[in-house]
Amino acid sequence: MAAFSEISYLKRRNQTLILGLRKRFDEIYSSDFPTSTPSLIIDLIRDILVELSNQVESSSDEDYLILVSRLVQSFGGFLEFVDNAHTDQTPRALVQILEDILGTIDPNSNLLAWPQAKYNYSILDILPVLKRMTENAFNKSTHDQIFHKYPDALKLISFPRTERDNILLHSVFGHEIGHPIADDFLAIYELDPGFQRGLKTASLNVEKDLQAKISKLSGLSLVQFRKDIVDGLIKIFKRGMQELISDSVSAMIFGPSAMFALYDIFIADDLDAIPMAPEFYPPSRMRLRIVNEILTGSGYIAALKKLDKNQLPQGVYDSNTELLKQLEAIINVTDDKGELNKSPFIREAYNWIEAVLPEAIEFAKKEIEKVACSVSLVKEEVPELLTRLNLGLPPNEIGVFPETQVANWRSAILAGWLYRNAAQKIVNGHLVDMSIKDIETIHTLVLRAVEYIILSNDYAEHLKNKGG
Amino acid sequence: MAVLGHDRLKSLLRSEDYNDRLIVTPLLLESQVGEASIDIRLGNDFIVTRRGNLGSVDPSSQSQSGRRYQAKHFINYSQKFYLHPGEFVLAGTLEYFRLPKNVAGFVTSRSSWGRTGLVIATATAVQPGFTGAITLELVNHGDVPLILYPGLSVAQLVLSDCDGAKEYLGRFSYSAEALYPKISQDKNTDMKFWKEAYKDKTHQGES
Repeated sequence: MAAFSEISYLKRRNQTLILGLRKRFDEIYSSDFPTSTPSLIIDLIRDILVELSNQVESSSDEDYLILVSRLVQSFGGFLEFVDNAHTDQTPRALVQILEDILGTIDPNSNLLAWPQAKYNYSILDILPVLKRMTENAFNKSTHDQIFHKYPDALKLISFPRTERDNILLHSVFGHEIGHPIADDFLAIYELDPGFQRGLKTASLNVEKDLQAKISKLSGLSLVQFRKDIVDGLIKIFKRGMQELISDSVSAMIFGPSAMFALYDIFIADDLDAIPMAPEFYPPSRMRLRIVNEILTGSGYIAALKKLDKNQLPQGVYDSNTELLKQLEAIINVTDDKGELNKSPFIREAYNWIEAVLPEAIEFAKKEIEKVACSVSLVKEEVPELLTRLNLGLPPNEIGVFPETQVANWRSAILAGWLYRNAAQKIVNGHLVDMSIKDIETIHTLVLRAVEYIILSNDYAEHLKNKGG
Repeated sequence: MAVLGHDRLKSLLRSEDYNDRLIVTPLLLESQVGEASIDIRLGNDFIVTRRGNLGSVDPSSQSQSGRRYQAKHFINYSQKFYLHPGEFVLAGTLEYFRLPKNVAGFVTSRSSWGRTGLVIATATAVQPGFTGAITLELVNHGDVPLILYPGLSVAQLVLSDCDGAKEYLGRFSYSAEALYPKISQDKNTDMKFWKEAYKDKTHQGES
């Protein structure tokens, strides 16, 4: 009878785990996905698993076998991303918009959009994560060999599953796209002498406020206390900057839709909640104010107000004018600033933010120039797209056959917001409240419009290339 | 009833007033407007029957869940959908339509596809004022599998004048993709009478 061997047991266990996980990925592989990225991610994970299986077979190192066991278990988490990335759960239009934006900003990246149970929007590049996870499992040449045939970036983009078909709210992704831009700015700014100057001013001001406490400290405890002040300020400053730059990017890419989406998300929140650990989000009122300032500065708010009421479906102009007034009233209240001033840390970090943010916004403007929204769309495209929505048509084109012009997808989304904000429609000559089904129809029509817009542009490009 | 020819179709597409305009969007090629019909394309959504989950379709039953016995497939552009001999599937049109209130239509196969055995529509009448994508009923009556690609022009919409019509506002309005059939929800049938009125007076032998 063969003696029991823990090494052999571990090997069998690992091979069983690897086989089980490969089978689960194989099952998902046959799903319909809106892009090829989910299958690319599955291919990569399968390559990793095959190589792990080879390594397990030839290894007798207990520590290594335990490491592989944990690694394979943690790879199970990736099932969730690809399992929910199939077309039943992921609107094609959303993927197409994101590909349009990210493909322009970062042409070497691929993306996978998946709905998550949590009410959260996020973007994460999965490649550095996978590389880090596996760097101790393979030697360098094997590691390089696995990853070299895959793109530079595989971005996992998640959105709340509840909001899956709400293409209007997905304007929030402008914010997520802003995060890497904010990080780039902060990485440059940290090396700038202005960073040290800003930090010094802020920390000295905090120390002044906390003088009573500081006077009781000495030696190491004083050093530690001062370090805590600096660390706290940097954390609050960076998080505030990340969020506010990202909000600004969202407004630059999506125009007024970004503000309507933020309002939709914040309406149930305390608008003046101060930044709190661990996320340190800026007050929602401040975020709305910054977005509004960007939109006002670019002429969007004036353009919305200048729309010809008689050209729009009944109720649209009045309702949106009222909503804009409501937003102005919200941002004109300064309670958020009062709340921020109650804590010396937060007050100083936000004074610092106020001084640096304009420079960051200018940086972001240059970064996203190629994918920026244009204020002219409000006047040139949105009114007719609203008429189309009012007739139950997708807002994908303007003009009359054969001179129809493909609209910009940003205009389609904005028209969707303005029509939905009206909350009323004409039935048999009377203005009546929209039903929930009507709102669903708006989402469906805008989703379809975005798909048509991207297809029509691709088709026109094809005709141009073949000289058609 | 006069079938609308090329010039009338173009004139309807060109109508300045949205209420009188025939909308076919996206109309990727002007040449889709033919002699007396408009060529229309396959969309990306296909509905396939999951026969293993379905005993039969009983229009009087309220319990059948479309999702249980029909599976939706999304086929991307440049990907293939295999339609096997004898297979029946539903597919949405790529285009979205809006018919004026005085125009009705029907969908039929394009002859080139018909000759391969593909039948496009068994009963697709399009009502005046209809707004939405059309659900095509595809059957392969040929002997060999057919490969279908989304975007292919497989059907044609034939239109005619329709006097005294009422605008269609039924449950298929504003749909943007192929829809599951809901025969049991059909409000215009007198199903209850046909199912129950003679129940006690007749006998059906066990099969």
